[in-house]
Amino acid sequence: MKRSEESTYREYVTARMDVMRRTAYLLCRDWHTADDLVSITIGKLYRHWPRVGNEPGIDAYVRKALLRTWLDEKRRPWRREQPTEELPDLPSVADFAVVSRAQLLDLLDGLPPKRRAAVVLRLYCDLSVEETAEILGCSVGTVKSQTARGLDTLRARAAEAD
Amino acid sequence: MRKELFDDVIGEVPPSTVDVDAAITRGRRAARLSKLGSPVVVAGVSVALVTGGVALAMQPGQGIRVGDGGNPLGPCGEELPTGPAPAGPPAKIADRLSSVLTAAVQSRLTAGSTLVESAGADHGPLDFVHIKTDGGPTDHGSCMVAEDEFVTGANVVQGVSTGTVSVAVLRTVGKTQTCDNGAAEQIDCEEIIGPRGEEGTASTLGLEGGVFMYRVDLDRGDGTTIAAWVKDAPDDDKGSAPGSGHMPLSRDQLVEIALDPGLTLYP
Repeated sequence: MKRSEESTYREYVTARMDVMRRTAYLLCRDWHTADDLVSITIGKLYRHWPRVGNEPGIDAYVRKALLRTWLDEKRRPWRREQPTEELPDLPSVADFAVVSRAQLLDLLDGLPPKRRAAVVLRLYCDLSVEETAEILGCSVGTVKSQTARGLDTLRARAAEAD
Repeated sequence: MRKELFDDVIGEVPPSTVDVDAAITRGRRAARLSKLGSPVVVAGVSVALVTGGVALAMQPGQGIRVGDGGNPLGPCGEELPTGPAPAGPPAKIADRLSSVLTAAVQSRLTAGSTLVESAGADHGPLDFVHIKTDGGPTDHGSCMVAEDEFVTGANVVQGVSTGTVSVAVLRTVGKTQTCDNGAAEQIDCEEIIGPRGEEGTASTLGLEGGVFMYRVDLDRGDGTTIAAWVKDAPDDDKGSAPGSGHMPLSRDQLVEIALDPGLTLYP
């Protein structure tokens, strides 16, 4: 990599470090693991930076790399959590209604990996259903069904907090 | 507001332990070693260097002293190898190591197995290549560790299955590997002590794509460190081939190879 490219890589990674760490934390709920995920992700990014560094979709590329790094971690055979083809429904509106803000992370933690990823991408990263579907490798309809009720409920929670 | 809600419940964010300099160092190394066509070497050496501490915070004005690993420190705080530079031309050392390793591996492969070059490699199977990089301060307040090592790799073909074997022989820097500071991908690990006082670990790792790796890290005690890997997938240009479930060597065999007295920088 050219020195100028390495410089822009460093600037990008430094500027996005906080949001990458926060996103990773929402996924894994552990700061040490979150930093490991970010370290792996920026290592992958370095290898592809000359090709993707100037692309307008670089943020989406990094989010996808981070998500896949985390999902790969969840798939490792010694992990207890296993990926499933069919994802269970989100908690109902009634379930969300009794959830306090402090319980939000615990609620996230209780979701299966792909469901958790869908919620974080849609609610925290503010991605469209199309972008979320592309990152997760599933259909738009699946993303909608995964997150619709959660979005409605969390909007309500956010309004209460205003 | 949704994002703010999440940020609110995340609360105070602890200081980052993400080392951008280390990522760049690993990236540079990967780019350099990828020209050897042996991504497994890249992955393995990266793990070794992470545990050894690749990029250290520069400490201006620091004198020569001993680091945590018992090695002398360079002018900007980088930990230097304990032993002297190996004597003789690197090409001659590489030839000697290649002969020792090839014999050690071939004698342990199952019948019908064949050693072939890794995809894109510019060296023969198990032919060592010397890599030397000068260390020193970077433009970004960190310090690059000097590298002086011999690395090699090969694909092992048996029927429809292809695995890899890779070895790095380097000057000892930092602490001896223990199971407690192994890679995040570590599934199983045992600490080993060789007949000549060698110390290190033998571990099993689970990598992306369901690939499994046996890895041995060994300090010979003479200033040489051995890192050896086998995995159940071929090295390709992307390093992303899926695992076949067929390991070219057992973990015990890999330990035996790493303990071969000929695999040293100081014969």
